[in-house]
This record gives sequence, structure tokens and C-alpha cells, in this order.
Amino acid sequence: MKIIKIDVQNQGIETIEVPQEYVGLGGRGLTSLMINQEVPPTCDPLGPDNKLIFAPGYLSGTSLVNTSRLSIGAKSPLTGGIKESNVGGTVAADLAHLGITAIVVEGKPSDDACYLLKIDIDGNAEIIDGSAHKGLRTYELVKQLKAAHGEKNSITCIGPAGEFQLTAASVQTTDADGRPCRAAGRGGLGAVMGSKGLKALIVAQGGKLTDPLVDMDAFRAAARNFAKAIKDDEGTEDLAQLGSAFLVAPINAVGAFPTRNARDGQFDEVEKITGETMAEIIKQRGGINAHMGCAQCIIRCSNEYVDEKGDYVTSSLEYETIWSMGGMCGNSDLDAIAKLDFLCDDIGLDTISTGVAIAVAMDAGHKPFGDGQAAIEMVEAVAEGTEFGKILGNGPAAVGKHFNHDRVPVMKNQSMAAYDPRALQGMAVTYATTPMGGDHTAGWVVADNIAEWGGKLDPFKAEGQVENSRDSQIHMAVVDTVGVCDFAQSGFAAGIDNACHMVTAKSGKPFSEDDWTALGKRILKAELEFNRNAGFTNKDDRLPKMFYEEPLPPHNKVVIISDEEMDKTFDF
Amino acid sequence: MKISVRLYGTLGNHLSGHDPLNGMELEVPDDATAGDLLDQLDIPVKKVGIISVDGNLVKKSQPLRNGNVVRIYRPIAGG
Repeated sequence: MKIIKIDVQNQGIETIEVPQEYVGLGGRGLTSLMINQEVPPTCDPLGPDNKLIFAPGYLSGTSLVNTSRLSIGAKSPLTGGIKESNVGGTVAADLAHLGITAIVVEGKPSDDACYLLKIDIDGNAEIIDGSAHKGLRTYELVKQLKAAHGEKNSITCIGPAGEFQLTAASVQTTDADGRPCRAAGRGGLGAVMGSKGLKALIVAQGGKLTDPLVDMDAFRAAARNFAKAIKDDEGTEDLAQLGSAFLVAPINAVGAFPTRNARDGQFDEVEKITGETMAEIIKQRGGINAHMGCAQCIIRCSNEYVDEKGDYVTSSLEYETIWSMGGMCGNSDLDAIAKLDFLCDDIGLDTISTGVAIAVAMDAGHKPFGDGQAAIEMVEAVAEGTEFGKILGNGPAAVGKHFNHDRVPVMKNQSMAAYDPRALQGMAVTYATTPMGGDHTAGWVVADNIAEWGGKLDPFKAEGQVENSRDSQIHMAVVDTVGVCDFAQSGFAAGIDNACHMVTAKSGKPFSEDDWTALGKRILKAELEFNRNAGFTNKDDRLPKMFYEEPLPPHNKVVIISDEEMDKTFDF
Repeated sequence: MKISVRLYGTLGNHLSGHDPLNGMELEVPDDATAGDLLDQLDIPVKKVGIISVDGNLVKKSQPLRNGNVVRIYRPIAGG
């Protein structure tokens, strides 16, 4: 239970015990409370006063399945507000196995600084000169770092986009096969890492310093219940067979698949990019479906997409990327989408923001919709550092401004995800109100809006949407704190109380379902407080006018949640 | 009458003759509904999310017509 503080200004390293106020926290709860407490809300996100925090989930490193989730937090240079973006792979489990609750990177180095931060098998930190790796793309960087420091390390790093401090820059981390293909994409946290001069975090694998559990037997029993609920859930099989791309066909079928910069809710060429098509192509070419991407994963939603020769293209091709680079750009060329996914990982870019930025450029007439090759060239331009590349790398709002084009689907400057809020009013509430900016994971209420998926809300009516999104956002704040993978939420079918038992069994302190909800509210309140102090008002909890004014085919609906209703979302 | 059926997700795994990319052609009784089709294919209702006929979302009570393209999707969860 220790926090490692790195001051990149003087290359100081300090290891402290976790302060009492943060004990019992991990992941988003820790990053958000710490940022609200310690980062001046009006600071320059790329300046010395911002802090970049890496925190494994509270249950990462335990025997609980699907808990290798790393939260990365900072003030976002994209939204100007608080940000937490979490990522899988192996690093969260590895940090937890070294007894590390968080790494906090502070200060501002000289302009040309390039550092590596290495955490060895004893949990000790060392700052290493990384100037030899400056400018490298992530796959080559990881290759060099593994050669120099050994295969048994997780690498968490930035590519050229992060070094350029572009606001769509991601932080990439290595998967179970050691490839930098897992992304904490949202919020431009790669730019914050770049501003700290930190090219990579190298974390030793196989540590034996995991925080002890107070009640091992109770933990194991609850963890078994959770894993059994995941295995018993029928959706787990869909995830293994098709990955998250299983969502393409049904979301398109309900008319909520934003197409050609959200001019339509259905993509006429969708069959070329469904999860079913992707899985079949992977199978026929000798790639891998049901691939294990993250430590302790029993779902296996990952895949390895290969080209016609059977050579590796990318991992893992996921729903959001198939949408952003596919439907949103009118692009039905799955090979081009896979290439774009790889390029974003390699250059260190958020696939959602980048795909939507391309879609906005296409909508503005820069290139035609459907031109996958043009999209590839646009993304390559980011790595080349061209003028247009820097605009694209700053996300959709920057592209819209460049072209003086106002059809830009962003909330708090961050692009929405692959669910159009006009066809799913509940997502309008989440997108508009989450302190994170346009973000589907903050309160995914898609199924709640469709009766056939067990939902009780009408997707075209406002009734109940605010309350439902609020409850989902409270719950997700805790899910992101304990570090459970979004796709492992079927494990909660064993009961929230079952999950609470695991928190109790680790901490030795009572933790009830009421505490679960109270923690979610505490985290959201801290995030909202930070944003208010950074200058946000309720006017920032609105959607772009396109969603209120342009009916979305095929249902031809607009967002009807009123401003007054939006403002009640965090009425607690 | 003859219809075209396309099963998504894991629904088509155990159905002989179903192509994951193109589905299959099927003979159904002239008065068949979408729900009857599920019974004919031996697909439990709980395994089914939405159903569309010729691109339009329908209920299980929807009567089918010759030449319809019926798409049957799995329930979803996720993010």
C-alpha cells in the first residue's frame, strides 16, 4: 500500500504510505479524489501543476477475474475538466503485485526531456534517460524496451501524438502478448504524459508484494461467485465469439449506429463490418478470435486481426473503433478499419476521437465519406507532424473549427461514442452530464432503453432517463474504482453485496451496498466540484445543437431531454 | 412459403445450413409469425433480443410473408 511520487522537474522520487484519506480506494476513486484535492482546477493541463496519476483498481492484483484495469487520471487538456480513462492489459495487475496503489507524476521537465520510469521487481522506482527512444511509435518502442529491460515487463507508453501533446493522444499499454494495443484513449491523457516528458512506464511482472487480504477465505468465496456469474451469463459466449463487435449489428438494427458523421442511424453497408463478418474473416485468414488480451481474463473478447496473408494487423479490433473508423466515416472496408486501429495504437491516438475527427473532416468536404485510404493518410499525417495532422490529432472539435463546420458531435469537447443519443435518449443524459465529457462508459444505459434487451424505458421518451443515467453513473464510478472490466459486469449478477464482500475481505472494514452507492456519489461529487472550480457551468451539460435540431433517420427523432431535466441529473 | 433468415451472435452456431455471413433460406407455414419461426428453429425466446423483418423491428407476433428477410439478434449488454 504505497504511492510513488515522481517529480519530473528535478527527477525526484518519493515513496509514501497511502494517506488515510485515500485508504480503501483504487482506480478512478483514487485518481479523481486526489486530483480534486491536489490539482489546481484552473491550471494548465500541460503545465507543471497538473498531476498524472496511474492507479490500479482496488481489487486489481487479487484473485478476482477480469480486474487488471488501470485508471489514469489528470486534468484533461481535451475537456479542461477532470479525467479518468481506464485500460486493461497486464499493467494494473503487475503494479498491484508490487504493492503499488498509485504512481503520481508531477512537475514539468525541460522542453527536450524524455524519461522512462522503471519499477523493478522489488517495487523500487528509477528514472532513466529515454532520449534514445524519443519520437518512436509504440510498437517499435516496446520492442526496444523489451530488448533492453526484458520481456517480463508491462510497458505503458505514448507515441508521437503524446509527445506532440495533441489532445486526442492516448496512453497505450501492453496486452497479455506484450503488444502496446490497449489504450486509455479518452481525454488526451497521452498529451499530459508527453508534457511530463514521460515516454514509458516499465513495470516488472511477477511481483510478490501484493497487499494482503484480511479475510482470504471470504474473498475467495465471493470471487468464485463473481466468476461463476460471468461464466453463466450467455452474453459471455457472444463476447468470446465476436468480441465487443457483436454490438455492431444490433445497435445498427435499432437505428442508433451513428453513420457518416451522425447523419443517419443506420449504415447501409453495415454487413461488411459486423462482428460476425469480422470473426469470419479472422477465422478464414488464420487469425485469432477469443483471444486473451488482459491478465486474469475469463471472457476473452479480444482478437487478432490478420491480413490476407495471415500476418498480424492489429489487436483487438473493437466495436467503438469499427464504428468510429467505419460507420461514422461511411467506410465499410474492414481491412482499412483494422489498419486505422493499428495506426492509432502505434501513433498513440484515441480511436474514438480520431475516427470522429476524420468523420467531421469528411462531413466538411475535406475528403469523401467512405474513403478508407484517405483516412489512413490523415492518421499518418498526425505522426508526421504536419499542420493538418496536428489539427486532426487534437480531435473533432479542432477539425470542426479548422473547417468552420459546426456538425461536431462532442460533449465538453470530447466526442461521443457509438450510440446516437437521438435514438437512445438515455445516452443523451450520460453524454451531456458525465464530468468526463462525451463518454459511453460513464453510464451505459443502452440496454435499459430497449425493451427486448430487458429495458424498461422508452428510447424516445424523457421519462425516467435522468434517474436511470444517474444510477448508472453512480454505479460505474465504483466499478471503475474497484477495477472490474466493463464486460465483466455480468459478474454483478451474483449481487452487489457479493462484490461488497470482496472489498470488506480486502480491507477488513465493513462495506455495504449503501457504502457502494455512497462511494459512487462521493467520487462524482469530487469530479463535479473540480469541474465547477475549473469554470464549468450547467451550460456545459448540453449536447451540440445537431442532436436537438436534426432528426436522425430511420426514426427521425431528436433529443428531447430538456435543460431543466439535465440539470437534475446530479441532484443528490 | 420461403423466407430468408439471418441469425446473429451465437444464435446460428448450432443451426445446420446457416451461413454466418449470409444466413439461410427456409420454408415456413403460410400463417407463420416471427415467434413461430423461433419455435421452428428451436431458439428459446430468452436467447433472443430484437427481431427485424425487412429492416423493420417487429414483435414476435408479426406475421411473416413470402420473401421476407428475418434477422434475429441476441440480447446485448456491455459498453
